[in-house]
Amino acid sequence: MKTLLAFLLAAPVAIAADTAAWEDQLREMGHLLYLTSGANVINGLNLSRDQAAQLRDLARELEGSGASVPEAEGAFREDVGRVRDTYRDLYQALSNGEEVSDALRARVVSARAMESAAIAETLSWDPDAQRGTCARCHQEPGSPLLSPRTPVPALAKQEQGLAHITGGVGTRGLLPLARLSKKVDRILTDAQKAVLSEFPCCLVPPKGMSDPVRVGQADVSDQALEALEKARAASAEEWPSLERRLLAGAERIEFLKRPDLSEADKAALRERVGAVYEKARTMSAIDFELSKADLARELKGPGPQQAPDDKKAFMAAFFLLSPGSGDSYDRLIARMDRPAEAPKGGASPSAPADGGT
Amino acid sequence: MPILFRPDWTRRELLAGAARLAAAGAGAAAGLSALTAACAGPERREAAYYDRLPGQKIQCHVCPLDCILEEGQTCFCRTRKNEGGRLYNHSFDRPCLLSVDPIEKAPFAHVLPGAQLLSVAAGGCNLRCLYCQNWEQSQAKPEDLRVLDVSREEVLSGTEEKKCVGLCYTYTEPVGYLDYLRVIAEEARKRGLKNFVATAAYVQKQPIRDLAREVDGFCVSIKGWRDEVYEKVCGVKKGPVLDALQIIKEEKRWLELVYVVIPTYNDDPKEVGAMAAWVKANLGADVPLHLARFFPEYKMKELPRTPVQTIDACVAAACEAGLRYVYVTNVAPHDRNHTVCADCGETVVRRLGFKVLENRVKGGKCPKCSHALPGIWSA
Repeated sequence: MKTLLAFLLAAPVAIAADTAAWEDQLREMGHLLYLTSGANVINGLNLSRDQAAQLRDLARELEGSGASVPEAEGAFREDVGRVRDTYRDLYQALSNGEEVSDALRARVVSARAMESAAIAETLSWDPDAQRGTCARCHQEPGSPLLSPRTPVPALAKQEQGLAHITGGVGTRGLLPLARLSKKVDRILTDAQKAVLSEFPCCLVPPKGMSDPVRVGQADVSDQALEALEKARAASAEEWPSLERRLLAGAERIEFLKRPDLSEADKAALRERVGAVYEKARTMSAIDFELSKADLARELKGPGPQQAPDDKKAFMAAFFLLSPGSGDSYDRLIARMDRPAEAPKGGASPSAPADGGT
Repeated sequence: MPILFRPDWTRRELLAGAARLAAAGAGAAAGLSALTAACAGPERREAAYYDRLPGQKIQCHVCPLDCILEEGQTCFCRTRKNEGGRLYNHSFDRPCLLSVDPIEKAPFAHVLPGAQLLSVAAGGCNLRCLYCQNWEQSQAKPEDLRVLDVSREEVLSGTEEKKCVGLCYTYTEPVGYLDYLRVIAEEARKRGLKNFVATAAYVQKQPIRDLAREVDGFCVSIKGWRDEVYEKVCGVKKGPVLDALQIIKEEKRWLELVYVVIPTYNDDPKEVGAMAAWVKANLGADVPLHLARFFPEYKMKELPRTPVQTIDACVAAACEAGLRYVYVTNVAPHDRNHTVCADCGETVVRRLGFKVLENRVKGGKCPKCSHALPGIWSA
């Protein structure tokens, strides 16, 4: 009986000890996100072999300076663990230069939704926590700071950028990263720097080639065009319920990017997106056909702000030298050194008939 | 009893139908056939370039397939149909795609950098390219596609309102909607708008010569250099394409070429070099060549994207063969997105993909050495 009691008392402690600290889980997730984004950029910049080799060496140098790959000790919460696994699969695909399949894309979208929900659930401002640490905004699940939650003040968002970068390379990695950014700047061409200056953190490369500059930015314009056409086709009776669904969809997409979306943000989003759909519905056919690309961009909303000029080199280095990225460069160089393989099988075009069909 | 109006007709179809009905009422001798035509929807246009044969057959002569059609049959391109012993083009007035695009997307690198064109397409195509990016439109009959409710006048006024310098007939195969293209192009010319055609140029000599006299320039897609590639990937032969290119040159129309580099099919630099040597000998060293990255699509999804090193090797081969303006398309950033003066090496147009970052061409000349740059540099 005593043994059983001791076991029952010890079990929760043992289980708790096996679960990774929430902050460590978030840090590993964040790093994985930046590493995967970095793999996207590495694939999309059309680096020469020489550039790839130089950047790989710099990435290893950064790791040697103290920037480390965060690895949480202990089990992940189930949902966050699934997100981590999906991002790892995506990273493997991107590092191997593989096309991201539709199935994997769908998993990434689900994973991102889960991640955003997990972050949103535990987002609460702690003014007493040390500046630049995760604990300023991210609390343990079940923490008293979550009941009630304190919104993160706008002023605190200025800390956020540096805090996330610190999470990505570690405190010891910041100064070496700044130093190495000058070397990265010398390696890149002006065109590559131009691409990087507009690059937001993004997991999945575009499927199509409608704009060959869109390195890592998920192309939502096909879905946006489809939504606009549905909006136009809806009758006056159908429109209210379709509009509700489209606005809810817009909110879901925005939440993927911004887990800190407030009620005020949601209202502003709905107003902006709603206005675009109303505009689309009232246009003539020719105006719509010729304006739909612009409307799709308006639906997406303003793009990420470019880093100020004096920070561009630093941000470029941050994406290109993420701890662990040496592996991405190794695989890229191996692909460059390998000749293309012959396809297996393959279709033939249907032969023209002697006459008509 | 013919149906006079259909509830699913667009506004344009309704007005066109009503106008034709009024005209039909005025022409007693053609009353019944006019009534039938009025009920058929968008304007039917009799196609050009065909012969009538005995037994209500026809033979189309737009492209080298020279389709012989029984009554009711449709050409291989899916756009032209034998109806009562006459050939009608069903792509006429049936645009399925309209878009404002940068001119660089055509691709044109030596035509009005930074300008915009209104791109127009109708369904159908006389090729069967396994990697077609627009296969949903090109491999369909025009009447089976969603047709845009846009008149020719609206296409032209839209071009002007959007401040496009002209139109580009592209996305599918303009040879398929040739009759529609030519009518729009004629009106566009009167309004001072330019006309460009992006085509595979698998077309008979007379139609391409007539077309060349009516438009400002062409971007021709060369699918490969070995005959086997043309047959295996596109289902047609290469010879007529080369004839068409020489006719475009004879007619002194601006010409740029695009070659999609498909891994393991046509990506051998020797093949690209052979093609480039022919271009130099027959069309001139100043014809810009765009080497485009292949993206897996349609029936070629098992292939990877073209590695950039492969494209770079093809660039080297084309330059070695003597072509002076060789570009890389569908890859950015890349040094070969820029236009460089072939005489002095000065970068005269800097680009990032389709975006023009800087244009230093002045009066059609290099700002450094003042040599004339081949191309159309002013509207």
